[in-house]
Amino acid sequence: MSEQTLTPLLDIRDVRVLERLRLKPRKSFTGRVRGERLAKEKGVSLEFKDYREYADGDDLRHLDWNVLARLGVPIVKTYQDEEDLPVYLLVDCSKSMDYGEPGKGGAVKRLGAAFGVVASRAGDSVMGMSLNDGVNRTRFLRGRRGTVQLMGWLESLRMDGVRPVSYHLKQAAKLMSRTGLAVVLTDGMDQSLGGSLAQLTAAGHEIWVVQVLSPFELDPGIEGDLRLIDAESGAAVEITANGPTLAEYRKNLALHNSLIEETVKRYGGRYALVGSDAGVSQIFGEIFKKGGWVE
Amino acid sequence: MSFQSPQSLLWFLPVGGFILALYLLRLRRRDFVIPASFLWPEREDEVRANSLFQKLKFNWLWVLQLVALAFLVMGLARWQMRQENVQGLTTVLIVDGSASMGATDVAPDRFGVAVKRAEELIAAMKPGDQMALIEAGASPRVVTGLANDPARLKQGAESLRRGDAPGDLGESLRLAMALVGRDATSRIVVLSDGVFEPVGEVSRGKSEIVFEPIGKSGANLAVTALGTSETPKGLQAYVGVKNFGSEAAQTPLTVYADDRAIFSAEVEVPAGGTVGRTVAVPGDVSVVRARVSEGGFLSADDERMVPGDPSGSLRVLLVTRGNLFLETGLNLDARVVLDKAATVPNSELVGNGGAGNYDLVIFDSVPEVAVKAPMTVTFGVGGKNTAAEVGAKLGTPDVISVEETGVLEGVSFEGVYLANVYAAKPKAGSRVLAQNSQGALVVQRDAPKRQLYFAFDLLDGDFPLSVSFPILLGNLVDLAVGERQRGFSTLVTGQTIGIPGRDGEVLVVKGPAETESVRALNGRFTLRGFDRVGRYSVGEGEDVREYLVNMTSERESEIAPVSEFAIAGGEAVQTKPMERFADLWKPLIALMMGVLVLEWLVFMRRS
Repeated sequence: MSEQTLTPLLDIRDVRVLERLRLKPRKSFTGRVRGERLAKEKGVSLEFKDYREYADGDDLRHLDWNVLARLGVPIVKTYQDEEDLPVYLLVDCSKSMDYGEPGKGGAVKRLGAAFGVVASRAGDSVMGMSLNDGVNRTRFLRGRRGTVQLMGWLESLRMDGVRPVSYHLKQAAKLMSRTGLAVVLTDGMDQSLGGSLAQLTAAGHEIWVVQVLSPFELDPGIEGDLRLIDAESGAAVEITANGPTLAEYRKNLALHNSLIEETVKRYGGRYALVGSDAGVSQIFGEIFKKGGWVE
Repeated sequence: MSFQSPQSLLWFLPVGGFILALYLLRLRRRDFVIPASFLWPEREDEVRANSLFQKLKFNWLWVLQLVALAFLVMGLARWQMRQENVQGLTTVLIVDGSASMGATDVAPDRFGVAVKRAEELIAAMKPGDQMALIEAGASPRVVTGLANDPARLKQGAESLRRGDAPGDLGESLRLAMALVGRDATSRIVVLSDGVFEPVGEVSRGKSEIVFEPIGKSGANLAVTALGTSETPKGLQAYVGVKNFGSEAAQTPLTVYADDRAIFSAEVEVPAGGTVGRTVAVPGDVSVVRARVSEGGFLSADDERMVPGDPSGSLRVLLVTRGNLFLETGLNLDARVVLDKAATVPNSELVGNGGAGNYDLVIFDSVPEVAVKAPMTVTFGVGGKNTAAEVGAKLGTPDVISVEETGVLEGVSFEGVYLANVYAAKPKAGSRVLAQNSQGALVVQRDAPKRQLYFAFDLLDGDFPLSVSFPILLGNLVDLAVGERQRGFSTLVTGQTIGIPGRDGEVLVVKGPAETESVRALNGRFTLRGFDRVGRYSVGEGEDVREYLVNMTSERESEIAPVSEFAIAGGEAVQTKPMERFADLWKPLIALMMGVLVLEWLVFMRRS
């Protein structure tokens, strides 16, 4: 298949990098279909499902030596009953995500697409869930077709939710019947985020939180007398943006982020803070791979 | 501390109110959408507004702005305060150079302290200030005219000289008034001990007079009297020593005859009292000198000298009903021993036995009578012995011609107002020295004795106020002294004398300190240089004249410094600190700028 037509969210170089990776959760989960991961329960099904390109770490027993000999391309067989990893892509679609330059909404869509590509290449099942008013989700998607559907779903997301992400997380948790890996893509601009994450872990999910902030949020370049309007709640704060004010903001932001990180790590999850201007290859190659998120 | 323009302070109210009003108004802030507001602290360091009012909140910003405004308004109101040791914009320094300033109760002496103080004031001049320097000696002089050149003024201060003569502070003040009297911002600073004759007829004008007294003590002993007289016991000298201090004092008193001590004794003089001693003097003595060796802080009056020959003095009898001009003029001449009387004593009238006691009798508007004195001078009404036939008063004369020789040498009646002249005709043997349109004005007869008649009353016109008056008196004394001029004469310090001479001729005057040459002008030498006590020789070779110059002013000997003196109208000039209002608007503006910089540093630089 042509990777260039997969999604406008990712370019071909990103896809090539991502195809060599697979998610590396700390916990093992029981899948419904045979995947490439070692299931906790014994019993193996060998019903052929599809081919895909070989990736580092694939079991060489599943390599199709005939294709390799004929075409010179390492292809591995995937099987229908192979145990897969349920991956939930929880995408924050609140209004605060429609912010920044480059926008945080676009950044989480790209990250979601990247996770989708990595998961599908590894034969994992991916469910997209938008954290928006009325949770919009896909079914578990696998394989190329599923990846295409996931990309389309991601592209269609609108960042216009007015409720806090913690509320939507709680709503989404009720819909996550299979325990698996919950990848939360959010800006974390919610003081109650920690509680909702705890609720996810209580349901047996492993949580990965990728907090995406725009360069402005990380280092606001504002000055003067301003009335700050909260994008979600509409609440206003009157400030004189000067050195001390900005210093206090930075301090508050660092404290807030560290609380999220502590919460995530306390429950065995992973946490990363990335800028909305960071590239997918950079994030996966430098942050996630070094941090042991992927292999 | 005061304000030159206090009404400007009112600006604080509207402008300060305006600043506060800005803080009472709510700020219209620019809206800015952010992802979440909970991370932002609600901080309002600055409140400027143009819409709705709000409650005034304490804020250092408006406090600093009001402080800056206060400094600005005080600067506009010309806040000023008195500063010591500075002068006004235009200052005249009068430095007393009289005899009493030689007192050494302060180091090095009062005059030295005054000069040092003048130099300090010159050094303290500010750009734009002007200063002049006047030396208040016997003849006051402007040492440096108004200038803002400290170097020139300092040079002038270094050239100041003190004499042993009484100073004329009144004339010095008049000179100062002429320089700055119309300038309301000017001040006249008098650096003196206050020991001078009362100042009269001086108006301060618009100037402020500041008196800075110098000196601490009044302890002084002086030889106030020394004279010789032929007595049945021979030539005797009388010496008087006066104590001008407030406590009794002792001093050795020594009398010298031609530098040979003929008497020495310890004398004790009570406070304010005088002690006299009579000393026998050898007959062939030229100069008798008396000296107190512990005479207190002033040395100029510790010694006095007189000729050994008692005839060296001219004894003058002034017969008058009162004429201050004549009395003062004659007393100023040290050669003159003056007595005053309303009528001639019988012992001086011709026909009574014995010789007369006077060399000259002056009849001032009193009919002349025959006297034993060898010379008479008559002003106004005549008598049967007068050199002229004198008639009634004729009113103001029209034309006057003067023979400017002899007694009228250097005397001019031009511009002189004579209200009345008497009709006068010269008697036989008399000659007319001056003529008016009505007849003779001045008549002289030399035999049988020398007589001069002036056909006007001295007080009936302004002749005594003219420059010719002292010249006439000098000429009369010269004429009376006659041949006795040879030998020693006595003068007082600061005295000016005239000696006949040919124009262009040079006369050498050797004093105790220096020698100077004087050139004759208008037929006479005018000698003014007798400003230190001691011996002076005038001329050279056989034509030399010797003068013994003494400081005889008891006012100068009374050296106790005063704290105030009076000028015209009894207005007292008191000791004042030398100060002026210093304008503070520059430091105030600097403070305001400092506050604004502080505000910027605190509120703006950190944003």
